[in-house]
Amino acid sequence: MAKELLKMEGITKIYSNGFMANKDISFTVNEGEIHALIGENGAGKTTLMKILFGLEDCQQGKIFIEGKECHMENPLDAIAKGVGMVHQHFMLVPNLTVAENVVLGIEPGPGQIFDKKTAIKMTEEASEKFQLKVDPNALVRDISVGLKQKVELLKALIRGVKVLILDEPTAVLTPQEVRELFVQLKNLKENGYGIIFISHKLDEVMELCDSATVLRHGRVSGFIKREDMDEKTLSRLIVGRDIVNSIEKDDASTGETILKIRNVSYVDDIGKKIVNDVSFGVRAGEIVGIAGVEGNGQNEISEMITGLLPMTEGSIVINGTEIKGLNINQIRKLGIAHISEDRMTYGCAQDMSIYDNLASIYLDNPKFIKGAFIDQKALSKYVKDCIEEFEIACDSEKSPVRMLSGGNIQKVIVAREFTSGANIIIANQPTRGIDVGTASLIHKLLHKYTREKGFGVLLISSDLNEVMNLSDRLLIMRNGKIAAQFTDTSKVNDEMMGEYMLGIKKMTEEERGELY
Amino acid sequence: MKKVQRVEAIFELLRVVLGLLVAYCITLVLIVITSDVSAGEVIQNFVLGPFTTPRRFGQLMGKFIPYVLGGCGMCFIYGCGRFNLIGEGIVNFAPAVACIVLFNTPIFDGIPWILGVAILLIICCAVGGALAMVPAIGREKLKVSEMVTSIIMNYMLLYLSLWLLKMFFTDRGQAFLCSPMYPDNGKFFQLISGTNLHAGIFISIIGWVIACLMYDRMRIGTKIRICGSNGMFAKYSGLNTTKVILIAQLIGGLYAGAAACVDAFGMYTRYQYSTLTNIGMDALIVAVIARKKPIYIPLAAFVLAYVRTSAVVLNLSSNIPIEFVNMMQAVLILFIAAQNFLKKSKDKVIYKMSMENEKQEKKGEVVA
Repeated sequence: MAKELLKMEGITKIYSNGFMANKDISFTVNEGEIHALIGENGAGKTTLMKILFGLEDCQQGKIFIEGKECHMENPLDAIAKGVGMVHQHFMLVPNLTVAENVVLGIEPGPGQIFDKKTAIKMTEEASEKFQLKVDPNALVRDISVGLKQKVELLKALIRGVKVLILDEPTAVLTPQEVRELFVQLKNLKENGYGIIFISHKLDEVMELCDSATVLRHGRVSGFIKREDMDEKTLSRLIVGRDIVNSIEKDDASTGETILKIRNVSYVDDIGKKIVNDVSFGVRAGEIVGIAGVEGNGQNEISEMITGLLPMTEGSIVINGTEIKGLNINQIRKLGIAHISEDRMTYGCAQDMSIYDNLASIYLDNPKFIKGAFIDQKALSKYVKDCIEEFEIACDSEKSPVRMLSGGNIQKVIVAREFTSGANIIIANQPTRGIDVGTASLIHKLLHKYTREKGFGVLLISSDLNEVMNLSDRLLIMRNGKIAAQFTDTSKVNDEMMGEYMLGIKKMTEEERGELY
Repeated sequence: MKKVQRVEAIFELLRVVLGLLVAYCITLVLIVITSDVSAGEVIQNFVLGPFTTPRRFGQLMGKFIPYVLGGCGMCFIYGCGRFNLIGEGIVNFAPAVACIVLFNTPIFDGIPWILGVAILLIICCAVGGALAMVPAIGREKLKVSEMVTSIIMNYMLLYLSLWLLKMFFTDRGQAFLCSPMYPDNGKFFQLISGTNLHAGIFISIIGWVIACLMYDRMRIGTKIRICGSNGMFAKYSGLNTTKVILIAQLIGGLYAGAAACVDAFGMYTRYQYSTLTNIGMDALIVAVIARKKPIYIPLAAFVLAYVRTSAVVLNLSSNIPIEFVNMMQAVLILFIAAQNFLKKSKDKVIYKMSMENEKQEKKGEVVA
């Protein structure tokens, strides 16, 4: 029998808002095993790994490493005990070189002096040994996401960890990069490492992993060996029912172009052209999806349309009005609603009540004000209607938003933005990190509002399934430009999208067709 | 989740009450240890002192009146996330400007009391509002720390007020630096004669009601709270954050001006400030104790006024220096401002509660 590397036993964690993130969770990882930890968003995977990596404390439970009971004080302690983690959002310093990042914290050299040559040599040796090819002298800022991940892996491996945690490693990768990662992971497995692979993509799990622990609502809902894995069993364990695709695709009846983006560019602080001469439009009644590897200018486009970021060049026209020189409030009044990618920073004030959060964009709206005062009655009714219509689970409208779950916070934001009277919705990662139920509710709403009310939606998402299922027209961004357009999304698959996202294939302007 | 909210509320209250008690006990023990005063005497003077005579209680109320106004103002400044401490300088400077009008112009000749007091109040508020805008605009337009500017300005304003006093309205017949006696239509009369409880309290009550309405019911209050809670969210929602933050500090300045007015023309018979009064800083303490909520300001103002008066009473009736008691305030603020005080016990209670919920749910399932 394989040697047991890691064992977690009876882990229970309750957050200070009373949310039970983990309840009595146990699982083991053996030497030379890739163990999948799967479950919906919010099922408790990340919390469990944070406990293992010393980022969070748990109230009950034990952790054993190679049979010895351990307590992880902090990440440094965890690494010293042989547990390394590659975070979903990389923890690298962009302005340092690959070698400097790899040795950060264990810098070689006499005394306080940093020996760069040895650092580069260390990186090269590790790179050779683990077959993770990187250029030690490149700046992290300049390398691709796939390479950054390799740097993260090297960072953990060079510190001599035996157990590697990978938190949704494929979320930011193209299908081709995913292939490469899998080869590397299998390689590590051969060398006796234990790998915990967190994901909610079933096909990946079935391909890569030897066993899987499924979490649901913070509890273990099942343990499966590779031979018993099939999509149906897994998905039933994950959601407690079989997944049905909620959106019935039908043809959009489009109207005129209500959002026009013409020759827009954005240059960032360090002079890098993030968005490069982009032109496209969104017509009434359609959902335009933008896919692409993160960091290729999608986010900047959404921020420029909503006025959070000033554009360097070009023009954006909303319902016939050019937005140059207008402030965010004026842009909102032209008919823009915005679901931001970063819901805790932009989307809400977490210490304030649901009521105040819903009111934030209506403080100058004649519907809800009486002179200098807020019309409490009208607003109260509106808030109650929102809570009911959008099924926000809460005790009262006065509860602070931080008490709600991620999905319910997103519902508050969606409720506010959808009912704001706008006819264009900029939905930037609207379902990232939230549960399937809320995600499908948001999908249905986006679909309903375009079909029934003639809204135009710009959907930016890194979830390829989401953009493929929802979009009437699909754009792919690469290097700040529109690399491809698909007008019939039923004929698209992720392999095809990946080729354009990586720049392996290119579309000519004729192939791309009209961008409106 | 409803239960969790209740636990949070209970612990919030506990934190303040316990913080007060701990600070209080520490001071008492220290006083008893370090001085030759007996414990009984300390308790009599320090704990009960302010309530023993009408005069002492009036003294407490005399402090309470400006604290309420200043505290309300600080709620707005602090609530929008800026630390503009200009209130201190306003307390000295705004009444000095009002005194010039009072003594050097004929406006006050023969006008009724209510009008005279209204003019004083308007001048003080206008000066306060204008002064508060200096550090505020510096911060929003030039990115200079409003805290540094306002603290420096406080000293400037102190010496400017003294200069105004010496140049324009000093009473040369007195042995100390002061203005002539205020005329009857230029001061707040005593409600109970022989005490410091003066008519300024009506201004405090009105000011407090307006502050509560503004903070919770009016658009500007909500905007200020949103800006203070999450500036990025405010921007995203289309609020003009710069404008809102400036307005918040303007309101704070107006309130500081009102506090200056009731203190200078209520507590004293002449303008006689020769040092900073500390009312501006106390207002910040009041706002911190009240957790930035105007509704709790009177309670917080009373607590602070009580502590301050006890210190004076103890000082007068024994040999314990007043500075000693001021230390207690430091301990008090430490406990109240400390977000994580009692956090572990709170987390434990929440943990237990969740586990019990869990059990009950399970029982329910079994029955079902």
